[in-house]
Amino acid sequence: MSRATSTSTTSGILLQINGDTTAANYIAQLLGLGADAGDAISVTQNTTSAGLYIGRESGTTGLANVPGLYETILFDYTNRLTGKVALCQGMYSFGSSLASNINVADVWSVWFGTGGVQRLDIAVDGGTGFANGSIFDFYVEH
Amino acid sequence: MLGGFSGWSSPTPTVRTLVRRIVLGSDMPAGSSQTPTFDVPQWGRHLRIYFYNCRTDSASHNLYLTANFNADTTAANYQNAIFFAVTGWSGAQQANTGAAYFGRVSGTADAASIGGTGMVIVSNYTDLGFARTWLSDAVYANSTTQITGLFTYGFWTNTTSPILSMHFGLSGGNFVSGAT
Repeated sequence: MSRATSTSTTSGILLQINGDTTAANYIAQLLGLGADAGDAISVTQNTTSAGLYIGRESGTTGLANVPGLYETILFDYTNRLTGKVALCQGMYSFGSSLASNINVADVWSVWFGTGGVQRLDIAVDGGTGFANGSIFDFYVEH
Repeated sequence: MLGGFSGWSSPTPTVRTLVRRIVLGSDMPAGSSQTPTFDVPQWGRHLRIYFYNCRTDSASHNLYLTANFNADTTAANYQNAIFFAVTGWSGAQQANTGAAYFGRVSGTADAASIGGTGMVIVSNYTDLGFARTWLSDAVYANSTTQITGLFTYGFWTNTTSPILSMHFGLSGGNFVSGAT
């Protein structure tokens, strides 16, 4: 769960794999529901972020006590033959009004690099940082 | 309370046990005659299935990854709802072609290094008296410049038998080596 320190309403959350910040090596499809998506179903492809897009989070204008919450599965991260695929599901708050607060963004993401994943850097899309109290749990499944 | 976990209030922790992994081309040959089959242990309540690097040698862009329970291929026994999400479009459709739809896999016309990937939960697979239900979250690459996400949901109408086996297949073409 996390928040950004930027004053923007919401920001994307990125996983940069093996230090790769080349946007052309990543692609994501975002499915959004809620006020941030215009109170309708929104589907947007992202090819401009410098990392694997794994979710969205509130900025300082969101409700102070409502962080974004996401679960990401990065598949087959040790193989050295194919690109890597991630499934990401979660929610985040949008704006300061309770009435329009919960938003859902499910994300499907691909990194086209074929090396094994050896390092993950978590970043806020756009270069700002995470707020104190943001938590990232990391699991490995066999 | 579990030993060593003071304060753990859950009566039973979540347990995930890898029952079996099949890698086509390694554990078994790839090809149309191959239907990767899992014998399903009967001590569980829900099944979680991951698939990845799944491709078909079909020249089509992509095809469904299917599953049959207990070798049942009766069309009327399966109901699927599929929600697609791709840039600028989203929509849903239903299907009942005699199999559960767990996702879609890439074809030879798609990005070479990205296979269909997904996670499926099949609930209530051992209890009797209810239809078996599943949901999945999956994605495949149409090309190096576009991917499509989808959710599938469905039920198998059999209420009198637990799921004893699961047979995977494609809605066309052959599995390519590396499918897992």
